[in-house]
Amino acid sequence: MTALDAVSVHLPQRRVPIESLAGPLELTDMQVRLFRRFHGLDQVRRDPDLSLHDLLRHAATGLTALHGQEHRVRFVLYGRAFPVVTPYPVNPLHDVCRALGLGHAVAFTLTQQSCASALLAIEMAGRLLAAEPPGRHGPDDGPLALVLTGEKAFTRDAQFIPETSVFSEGASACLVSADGPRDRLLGYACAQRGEFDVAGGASGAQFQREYRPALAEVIARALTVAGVALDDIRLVLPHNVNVVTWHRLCRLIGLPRDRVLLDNVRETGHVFCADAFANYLTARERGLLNPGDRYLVAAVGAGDGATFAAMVFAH
Amino acid sequence: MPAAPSTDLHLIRAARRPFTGPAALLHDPVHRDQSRRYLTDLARQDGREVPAGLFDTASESLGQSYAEMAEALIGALLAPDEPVDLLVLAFSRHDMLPGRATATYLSHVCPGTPLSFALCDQGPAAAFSALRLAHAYAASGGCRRFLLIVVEQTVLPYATSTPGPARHQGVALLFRTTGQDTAAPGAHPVPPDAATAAEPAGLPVGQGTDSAGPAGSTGDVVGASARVGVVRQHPDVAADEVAALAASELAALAAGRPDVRVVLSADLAAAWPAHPVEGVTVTPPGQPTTGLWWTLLGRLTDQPGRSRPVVAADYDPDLRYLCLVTWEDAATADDG
Repeated sequence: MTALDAVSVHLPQRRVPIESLAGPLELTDMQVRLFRRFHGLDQVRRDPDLSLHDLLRHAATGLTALHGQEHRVRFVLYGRAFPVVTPYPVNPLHDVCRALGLGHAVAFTLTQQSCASALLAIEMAGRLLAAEPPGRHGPDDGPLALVLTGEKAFTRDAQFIPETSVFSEGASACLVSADGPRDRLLGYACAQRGEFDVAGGASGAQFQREYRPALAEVIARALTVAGVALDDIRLVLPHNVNVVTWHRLCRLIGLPRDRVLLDNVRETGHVFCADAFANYLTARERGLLNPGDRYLVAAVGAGDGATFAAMVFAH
Repeated sequence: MPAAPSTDLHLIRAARRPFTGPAALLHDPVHRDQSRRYLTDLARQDGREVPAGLFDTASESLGQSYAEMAEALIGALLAPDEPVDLLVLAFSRHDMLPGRATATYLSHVCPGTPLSFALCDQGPAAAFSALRLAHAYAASGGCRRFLLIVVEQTVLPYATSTPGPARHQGVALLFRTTGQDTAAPGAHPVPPDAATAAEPAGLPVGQGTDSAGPAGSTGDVVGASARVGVVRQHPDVAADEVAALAASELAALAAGRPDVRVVLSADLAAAWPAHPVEGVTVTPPGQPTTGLWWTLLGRLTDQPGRSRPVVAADYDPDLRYLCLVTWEDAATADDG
């Protein structure tokens, strides 16, 4: 069963109050106030001196469990919200792999599910590992996959979502095994809504109407796959799009608000695909997960088209 | 160890075609401006510039959209009542509308609303990775049909040292993953004989193809039928090591069968000047991402020789992947 063996996150140290984004993004005072008071956003992390390569490398080198285990890594999957983030043929993924001593691994990017791409990468990493031969000397010698996320706010679309959220730069690294003992994946569900693409014909108003029901449906489906009831979910690790979306979703599905870890919405805003991992580390640091607890991770990728995804884990 | 287990993917049929530009969406000034802004910011990160005025009008110099190319291939290849469960879009160079979640859009236009994503940043090895992923996905039993779409387009709006493909081109390969059907109700598979016209790549649209695709298609469907055998990927192979490794792998995958046919990408042939020639087809240069798959379809539909196994191999001198895939005649492989 797919398992998360270790998680690391790197966020730039530099904190930028959302008011500082008003000028560059041509936001009105009202729009900034909406972000702060209604959506619960406060600041983002940005550092123009850190490249995408830097972010990915810092996240991966923070993964102490990887040290000495590089030879076991068969795959490196880079789950990314924005499909294209460097001019061709600049390839930070392969540059970072070589720098980490992972040149022997098969490395590629999974994308075009927007901010839900990281959950897809975990799912696919598990499936690839399941098809690999097991370790010759037992599970401690078994194959591993490294799932990376990481993005720069390099263009306007990667800086904010109008009336909805603001993006932080950041990266994460997650070591995945086929049969690890901790944070085992019990269920995954995904729903894609390509009609919300620019060529898809559906309206923005329709998207707003269907956003929460679609997320609720995919959460319910992930729970069914996992064989876990919503009441048995100890904690939800959300995408950090904003606070109000999650409050409304809680009302829709009958989930107590205090079971959703929303503190990082204020701390960082939306860190693209890395939200799940940042929130996981926060939950661990605060002792919010006990052995055996079931928890749910949810992500929505919305831009051109929309992808709703959810995963259920056993800690 | 780069070896992957043998797979159970059966190629049902395929579609391939070149495209002309620009993308239809780039005729809209709003989309043109969005694309200009995104690509300008993209290039600026690496100190490159998008020429002023490039996006002023919709011209051929603006290049193509992978969404539009892939949608055309889907329309040619699939009937509405032929649901797909998994769709992977593989590309190397980006298109001219790079901010779109194209694969998610394709899920909307593809029968079955499949789980869809793009696989990239791996050069031409991406299509091989997609085959491995599809096999792994199918192993769970949740995938009846898999659609692999490989695309490339010629235009990058900034200076780059890497030569581009000769033309916009796409190949779509439809697989089934169970032994149930070779064609879904409503689909119109092409008779094998219809797809045996002259090769190699560079054919005009429709040559070597048949127009018996679903209603409304434009005649790009190839009636290839074969089973994927083994997919192997060797990362980080230096240029001076590729010849020996490729020779060793071809010998191993041929397993002593003298009738094996081989398709080598142009880049692999260039890195391996002394490659064998008997039974070997080399992909014409100019289409580094799609060329191998285009030429492979010709070999899989050759008459006579259709029952002989095929090995297709590629090497990327930039990212240093050597990849190989074996194909067996579907009828032989299935044994009924």
